[in-house]
Amino acid sequence: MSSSRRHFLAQAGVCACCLPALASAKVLDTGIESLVGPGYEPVDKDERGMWQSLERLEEAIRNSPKRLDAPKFDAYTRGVVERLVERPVPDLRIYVMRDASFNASMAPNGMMVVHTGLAARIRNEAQFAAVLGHEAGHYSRKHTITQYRSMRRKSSASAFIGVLTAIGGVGIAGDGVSLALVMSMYQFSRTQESEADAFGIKLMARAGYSPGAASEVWKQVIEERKASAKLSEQKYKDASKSAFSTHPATDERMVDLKDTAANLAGGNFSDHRDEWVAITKDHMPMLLEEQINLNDAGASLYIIENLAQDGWTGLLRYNEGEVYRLRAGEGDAEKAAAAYATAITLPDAPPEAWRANGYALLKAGKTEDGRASLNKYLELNPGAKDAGMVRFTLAQ
Amino acid sequence: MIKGKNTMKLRILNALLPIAVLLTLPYTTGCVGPAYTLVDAKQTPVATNAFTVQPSTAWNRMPKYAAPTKFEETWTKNGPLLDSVAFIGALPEGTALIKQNKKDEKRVPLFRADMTPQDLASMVEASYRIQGVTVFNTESVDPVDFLGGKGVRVRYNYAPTDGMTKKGSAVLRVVDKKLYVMKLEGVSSHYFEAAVPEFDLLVSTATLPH
Repeated sequence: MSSSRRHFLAQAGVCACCLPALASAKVLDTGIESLVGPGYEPVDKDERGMWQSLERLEEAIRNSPKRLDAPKFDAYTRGVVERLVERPVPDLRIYVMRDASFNASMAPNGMMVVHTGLAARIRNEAQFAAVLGHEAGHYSRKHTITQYRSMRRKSSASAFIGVLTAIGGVGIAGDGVSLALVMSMYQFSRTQESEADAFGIKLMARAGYSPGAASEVWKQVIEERKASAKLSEQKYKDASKSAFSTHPATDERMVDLKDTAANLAGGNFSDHRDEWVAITKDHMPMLLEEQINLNDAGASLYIIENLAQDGWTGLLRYNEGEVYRLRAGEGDAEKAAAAYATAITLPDAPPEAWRANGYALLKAGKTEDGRASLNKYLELNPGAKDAGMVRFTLAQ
Repeated sequence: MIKGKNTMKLRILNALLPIAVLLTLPYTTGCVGPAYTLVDAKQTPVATNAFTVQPSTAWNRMPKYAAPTKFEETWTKNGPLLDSVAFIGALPEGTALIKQNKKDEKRVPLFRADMTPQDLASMVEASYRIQGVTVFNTESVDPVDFLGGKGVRVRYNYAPTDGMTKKGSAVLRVVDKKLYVMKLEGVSSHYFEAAVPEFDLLVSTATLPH
């Protein structure tokens, strides 16, 4: 997902100059076509320069320690894009990056970056396709180069060049890469964001994905931000409603996409949840761990409860307990203990649920049960990295 | 008239010159506060005299303003980007390892005296995660002798938001409801491993005041 979402996540609550949405909801024009065909090459000096800058960036991303080595997920992502655009995409290069923020991007040269934080929040393949379809919209409609030319006309090209220069320098330091800086390159106008929304939802419907999944993604983003702000005693604000924002208001986009989906209704649509669950199953413990350890209780609880709409699992219950344990507010120890106790009754609970349950019971003075749970943890995971400490605890 | 105007300008410039010099002084001298100080190879109080350690070689103590909280003191051999040892002394309940605001959405868990080894390890991990580190791997959590009793040692590696992959070893112990920490960090390619023997020595010589 492009910078609009990133900025929404990063800046919500910052702008003090907010206005109500300026336009009422509308059905998006889904009749637009791609400007980019297979094997597209840059056609002029501007595009060639941009591609050259991207080459160095891509090299850093390719070798970054933050890159998740997940060839099956890469192939799956490619498959979803191919299903959306109805053709093979041999030029597409997919990089899944370890970053807990909700983000994805597709560069003009075919480099696609997907954050693990996006995968952590998605409930099914249709929602994933909504994000990829939106990014395919920016790519297919050549928004990056158009935006660059627009900024140059407005004598503000230096901002864009500054980002590219920074990506070539500060953004890539040692074997690391500043993903925040990379994503800042993809700043599109209100019109372009709406066009990408329209293009994406058109692709979704054509490919048989439930078009309603696009507005669901936005709804989740908004509700997560509200939940995060509420628990951190902040007032929720949508920065994209600012008169100075280049992006359509977030709730406005959600309604536009919902109305457009209703207009596209009638097809044989599916959310393809089983496929999504199968491909993310092995990664979910890591995806949730990245989010939970940020100790943003509002956002984390929202994400867990949203995923649990498809059914509570041992993994989700364990992570619910982890949220409360890390927050450690009044009554949280009891909530954490209850979540762990439930988690270990479910078939897919990770071994760590028994460890957490054990320590929670020890804290509550239930020594025998606590020791039994810690022993079960060691039995399930004898090579645990903290086995030494757990054994020491048991020896006390 | 023209001459008079120039004279006036010169007077104003002369009056402003000392102010300008004062304002630019930190930049012309190359520092804005106390510089690094030498730590000799002898028993040395650390973290506002919270405990002492005995290094076998000389270290460089980083300026106080470089520490994230008033409870922390940091030493380095080759510069903080390559290696560092942090000492946190007598951190009271309800405070965090790093500076943060009450309304921050992402927060390091506050220290509590009843924290389990799992809680202490999570606290270390969260202090990196909330600063943008997503690749954080715990290598081991073991008991360790520290300050006259058993503490927890967490070994880990992580990919900073930029720069080279690093390794770390954090030793933590709760004494009289206060948290004591020693933490070694170094670039994983060489500096971390090179500093481990000296760090282990510092941990083993750490002593609370009588």
